Amino acid sequence: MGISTRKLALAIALGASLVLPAASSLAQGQPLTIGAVLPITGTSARAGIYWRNGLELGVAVINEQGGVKGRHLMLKVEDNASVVERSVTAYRKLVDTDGAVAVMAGISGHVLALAPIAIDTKTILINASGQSPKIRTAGPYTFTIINDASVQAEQMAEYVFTKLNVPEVGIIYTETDTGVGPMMAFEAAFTKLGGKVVAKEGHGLQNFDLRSHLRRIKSKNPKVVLVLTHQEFAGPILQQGNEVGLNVQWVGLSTVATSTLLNSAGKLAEGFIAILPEWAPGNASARVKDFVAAYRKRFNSDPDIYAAHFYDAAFVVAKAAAQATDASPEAFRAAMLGVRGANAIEGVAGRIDFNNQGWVRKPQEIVIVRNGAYVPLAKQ
Amino acid sequence: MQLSANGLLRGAFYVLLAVSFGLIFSSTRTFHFAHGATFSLAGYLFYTLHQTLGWPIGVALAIVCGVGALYGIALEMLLYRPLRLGRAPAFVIMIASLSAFFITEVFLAAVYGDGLLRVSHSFSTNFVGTGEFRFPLLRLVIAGTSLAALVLLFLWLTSTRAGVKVRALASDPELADALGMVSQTTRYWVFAVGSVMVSVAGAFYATDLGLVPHMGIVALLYGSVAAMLGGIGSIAGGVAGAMILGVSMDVGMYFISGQWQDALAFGILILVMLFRPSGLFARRTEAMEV
Amino acid sequence: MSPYVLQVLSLFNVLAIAALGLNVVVGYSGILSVTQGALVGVGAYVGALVLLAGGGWLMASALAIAVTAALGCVVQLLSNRALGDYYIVISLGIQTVLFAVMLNWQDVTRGSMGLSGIPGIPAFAGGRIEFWVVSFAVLILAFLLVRAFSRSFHGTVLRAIRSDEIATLSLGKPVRLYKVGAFVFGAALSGVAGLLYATLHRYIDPYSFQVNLSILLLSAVIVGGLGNVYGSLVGVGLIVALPEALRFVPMPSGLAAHINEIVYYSLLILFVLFRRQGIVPEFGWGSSALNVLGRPGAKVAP
Repeated sequence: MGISTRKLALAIALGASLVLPAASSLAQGQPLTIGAVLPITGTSARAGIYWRNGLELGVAVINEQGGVKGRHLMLKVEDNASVVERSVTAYRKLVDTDGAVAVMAGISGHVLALAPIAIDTKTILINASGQSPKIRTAGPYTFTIINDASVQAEQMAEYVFTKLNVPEVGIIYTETDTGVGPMMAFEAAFTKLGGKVVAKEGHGLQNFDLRSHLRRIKSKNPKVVLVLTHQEFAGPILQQGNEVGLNVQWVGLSTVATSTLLNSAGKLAEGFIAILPEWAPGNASARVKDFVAAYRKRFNSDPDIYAAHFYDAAFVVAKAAAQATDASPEAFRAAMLGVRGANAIEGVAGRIDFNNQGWVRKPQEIVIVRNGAYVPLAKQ
Repeated sequence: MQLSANGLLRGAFYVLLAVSFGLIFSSTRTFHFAHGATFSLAGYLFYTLHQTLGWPIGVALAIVCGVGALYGIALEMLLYRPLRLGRAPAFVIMIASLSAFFITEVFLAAVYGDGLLRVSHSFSTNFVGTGEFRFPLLRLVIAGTSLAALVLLFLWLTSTRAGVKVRALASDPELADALGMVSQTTRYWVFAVGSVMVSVAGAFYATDLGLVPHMGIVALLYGSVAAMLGGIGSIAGGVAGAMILGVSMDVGMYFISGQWQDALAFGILILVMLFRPSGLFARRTEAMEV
Repeated sequence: MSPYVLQVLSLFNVLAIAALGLNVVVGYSGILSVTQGALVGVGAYVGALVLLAGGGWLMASALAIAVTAALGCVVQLLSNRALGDYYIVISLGIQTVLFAVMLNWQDVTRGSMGLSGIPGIPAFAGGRIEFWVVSFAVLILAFLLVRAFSRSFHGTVLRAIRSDEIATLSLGKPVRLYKVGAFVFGAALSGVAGLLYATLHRYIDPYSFQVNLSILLLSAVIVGGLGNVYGSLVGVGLIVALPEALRFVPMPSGLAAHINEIVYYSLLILFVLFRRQGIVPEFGWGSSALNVLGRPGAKVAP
């Protein structure tokens, strides 16, 4: 059983690449490498696909426009199979072996696990979908470009309690970071205002039969039901809600208020109230329209809000890399923090304007569905 | 009242899963994990034929059933039989079946993507009845089909040669084998019929709830739990188990929060197993501990 | 050494401990359990909660072991009645119930938000040599314990039970107790692995402890070689290295992840079809497979 010389050489090369770390690609003269640690398989795969697509599109557009000061932007996506241990090894591999200078990630828990490694390796970690407010204090190398759970939930709680004048609500939520975070934040904010969450129903990502959940909510008689689920459940929830006779004012956050809801719920979506950053599927601005069109063309489907977030993430990195004063990680980090004020980015998912700690509070507005489109209800 | 009616409708769906799974298991002693994959495959194929290509329901359903049957037979021919001839014990066959299950689902995920796909049909938006007793037409159709399937199955098992042989195999495999009454063909029939039943369920699921690559686990979970609840080896047991599961799930979920759905199903099973290890209506007490 | 490699090696240590525990249950005793993933999870959560509450390492380890062992005892007693093919469904059921508890008991486990900020060894874990040293030491200890167990009286009786349960019973041995004992030992090892897992990543959520982990460990033990401690190590090496190695094979990222799974399960099928004794057969290379996976006439369960 002799091993050919060629295979041996390949094995040695592979081994060497594992053992010898690659130089960071910040130095000039090579493509700039950024990485992403995303759930392409596993529990969160359905969400992860949108994240990856948005990011790929962003990188492609940047390269078409000339790259980062003439340098080609290279994207390496690694799958974490929706489990933490693979996120950690993926991040290490991207930094060690691929020389990535920035890594995008999602899922709050994973971001929190990666944050110390970002500090250790002096690479930028960009969170574009994890909603936990804990990430605010995760460290100097972690940047969040979305409104976390507290920001959206608090505003929605305020709206429901004071403007809609409803003291009792029901909540249906998906049992992931995307659902549980806002659920907890909303409950805290709403209770603080004096309201009460009379029904809370969680469901798993694989479970599309929510009739029993909705019936339980119905039995508690709330006037408003908050939908804190992933977007693909919105349609079934509205339909099954109608089926079991749950007639309430439906309310949701940006995660669920996408074109998928409009398409799958059809007429039942009329009157759905949500809160969105300036991006919305029917938004009239050219920037957003172009993004949606480009996404449709490339991937044959509609984007969701997270695709938009990850798309913006690419531009944030590109801008910081272009403005970094030298090739050191510290300069790169300083440039990231410099994306603020006059230097902020108007992304397709809202304005990215970092504060001192590397997170954002994007302006957002309450919208309502009228005639199959989202329409602003109250300017924030 | 509404609850138990809904529970019965839910149970009607489970019947297809439980009886098909139980049939295969009691006749061939194979824990056919890949049964879940037949379910998924059927659902996705139905989507492609009916939704994407626009073929009429009857045609799509027939093709889907055919493909399902072929899939089941292929697994028996290429995987289970060789293992059995190599004297592999049950759990090795189970591992092999599990792997086949996952490979098929990953393949479906690669082809169709991980998003949710739905088959839309007027069935899913029309209702029958009023007030407290409103039922979606689709669920009634599912119940009706389950009933029809059961009747057909019963007729097949009692009136046809192949069916009678299957019953012999199910009631006493060693004896049937020893007497040379059954052949490999009988086994193929079992897989074919079981797979057809679960394929129909898959097509329904695609219309009622939607398709995701890992939907097969639903069929497996509820099918095996319901079958074990009622008692493997008895078709009536499978039906009873399915209905009982359906109703207790609906009733149970009314009282405890919906998050515990899967745990509830297993909880019910474990509870029953504690007192009646072979299931509620088992004819053979084969699962008794020594 | 590259932190990346160190990370992977550390993960190997942790999973190897769990696999050794599973080997005791499946390999030595012939109990086909898919509950291991959840047991590792229980160990991780108990250990993490203790550490986060300020309790020291000793207390965390002791409690993690105690709780998982006790749970293992209860689980095995509950499911002892169901044999053979029924057992796996019960085992799957228990795995599902435990996962549901981890996910839904939000007051304690914070559900899908997970527990973060778990202290590491010493201040930072993973990618650092300290963790690897500690986990390696624990692995050696576990290895020696399992080997000693297999040579002990308990171990011998288990092997007798495995090849013919009915005969062993007729000899007057309390079969049920021996099986419970084995399961408890396996569960305790899973608990330890769980605690180390929590410390390695410093963040845990329920999703790492689903049935996937159970199947992963089961595959490692089967492919590596049931009933053989070296085999389990080889098996874990394979399952940890495979997804990482596939990261280096150039292919479109969307496909890569799926290819990984397809390769993995195909390997499993191939092993099961063609080399059932695993890479390292029970009594070493060259021995005939005197093990649970296919000795003609071996009675595993009705």
